[in-house]
Amino acid sequence: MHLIRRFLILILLATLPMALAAQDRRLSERLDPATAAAVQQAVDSAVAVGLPTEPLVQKALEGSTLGASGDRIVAAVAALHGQLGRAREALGDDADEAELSAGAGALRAGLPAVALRRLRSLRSDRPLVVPIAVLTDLVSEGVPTEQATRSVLDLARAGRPDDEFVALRRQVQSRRGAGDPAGRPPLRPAPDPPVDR
Amino acid sequence: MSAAARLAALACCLAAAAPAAEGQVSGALDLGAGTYRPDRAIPGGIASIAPSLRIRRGLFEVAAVGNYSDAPAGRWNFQGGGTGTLRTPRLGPLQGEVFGQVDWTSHYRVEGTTTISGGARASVSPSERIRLWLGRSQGSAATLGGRRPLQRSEVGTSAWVGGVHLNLSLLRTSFDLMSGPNLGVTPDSGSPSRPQIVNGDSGRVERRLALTDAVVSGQWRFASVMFDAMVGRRFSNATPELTIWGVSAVRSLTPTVALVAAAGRAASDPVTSVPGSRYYVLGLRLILDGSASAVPLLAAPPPASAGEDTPFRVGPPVPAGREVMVRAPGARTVELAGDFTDWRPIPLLPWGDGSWRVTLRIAPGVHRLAVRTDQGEWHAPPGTRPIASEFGGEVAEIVVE
Repeated sequence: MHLIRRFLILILLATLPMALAAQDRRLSERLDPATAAAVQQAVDSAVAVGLPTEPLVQKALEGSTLGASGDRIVAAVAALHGQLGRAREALGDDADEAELSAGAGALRAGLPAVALRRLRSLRSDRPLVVPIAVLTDLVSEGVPTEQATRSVLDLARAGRPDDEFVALRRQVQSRRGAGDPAGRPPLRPAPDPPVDR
Repeated sequence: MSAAARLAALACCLAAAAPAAEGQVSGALDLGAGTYRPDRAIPGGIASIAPSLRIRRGLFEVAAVGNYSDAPAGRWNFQGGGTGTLRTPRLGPLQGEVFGQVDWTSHYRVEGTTTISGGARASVSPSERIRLWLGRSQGSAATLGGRRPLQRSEVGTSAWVGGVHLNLSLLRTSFDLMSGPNLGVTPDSGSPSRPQIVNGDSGRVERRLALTDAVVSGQWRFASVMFDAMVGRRFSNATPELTIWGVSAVRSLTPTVALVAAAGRAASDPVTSVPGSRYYVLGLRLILDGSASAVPLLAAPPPASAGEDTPFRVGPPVPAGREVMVRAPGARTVELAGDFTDWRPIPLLPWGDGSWRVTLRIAPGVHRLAVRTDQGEWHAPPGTRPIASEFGGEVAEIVVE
């Protein structure tokens, strides 16, 4: 009996570090215990449903650095959890962490999930991080969602590289800096080959 | 004038000039200790004090440096100098400058030398990352109650290669010989007032000594440490060839204090009779002005696609990471936090030109970040589009390619 008890204690001691390691030390070091526990719950939930956890941790750490209260941090992490889930529905199970984070940001900026689905279908074999980031940026700059989406989808449909998406954003920013109203359709990089719609 | 009095006079000049100048002022005071092994003299430990000051106002620049070192048995040495430079406006890639320079040395029980010279330099910059220059100066050195003319000619080039600022230069110094036992110079029987030396290889009689220093040097930053390394060869018509080298590292501890370590083999200066030496020194650098850089005056690598006025930049990848630059003139501290730092505030180092920099590992992708100055509110870096954070402040999202 003593032998079995010792064996169980050894097993417990051996697995304890693994259990402790499952808790992100960054949370316990930077957040108060209650907030850290609530954020850890959201992280555990993300693991359970196969969502990336690092964006949730980073969101909590951002709140800590910006001096937010525990309640606001927990609310922001929960909201991001939901946005990541919706982004995965739109982008598919193959979307990686960076794409899901960018997608969550797009949804937070007010873009419809259908825009992400269209982008995925047009660019299924290439990373979507930059196109989504540019689309989010354009909308955040004040370009109407429909026009911004159309411009980015046109580039994706034409199979343009990431550089051209970034160039599109720069063009819009430079034109806005020159006094163009935000509602003006964004410029398209030239030459733009004809595409099937 | 004694060395202590000269040092005090130089310090007074520096202190008086700094507040009076409305231009960009940078200054430092190096306090060091180490070992010093001069040629033809007794080696030993030394303590040194080296103030330096540079004032820029438009096209005019004044720089002054001093170095007082104290060795055992009361032996001391002092070297000081000042330079005034007036540059022309840029004409495309061309720029010219005229300069005047005064240097003096003073030593324990040995007469020092005062050197006055003036000259001109022309440079061409075919791109923002490359510069070539050509210069010529003339002057005279006074010591032991006599004067002798000297000339200096220089040609050089500098370029940014990766994250390294490379310099190649050739400096030729020529001056009339002065008789004396240390130089092995014999009076010319034909003209007793002009000494001469016989070249051992060619048998030619030389009345002027000419030295050419060919030097390759590089400066680069790794993390928060600035490295400086040089190696060169001295050629002369009358003395053996000599290899010279030097390395130094400067690690900023705070915006106004840095740790300095240096070692090297310096060549002698026959004009001032300062001997060559080997040295190993460790010390502290105190920045006299908060806007000055704790590292040697090293121009930032010009960005490949952005002008000098770029308010915020994440540079291309280098072995140590990517250099992040934030322009914040007048700030006392600048910090950066983002998802690539786990949102831990990282202090940036002042660069002396109003920009603050740090090298961090940042993977390509979309990143969220914020900066703050002087422990104030977090906000988006200048020049980026602010995004309202859920937490009340402002941040930015950038695409790192």
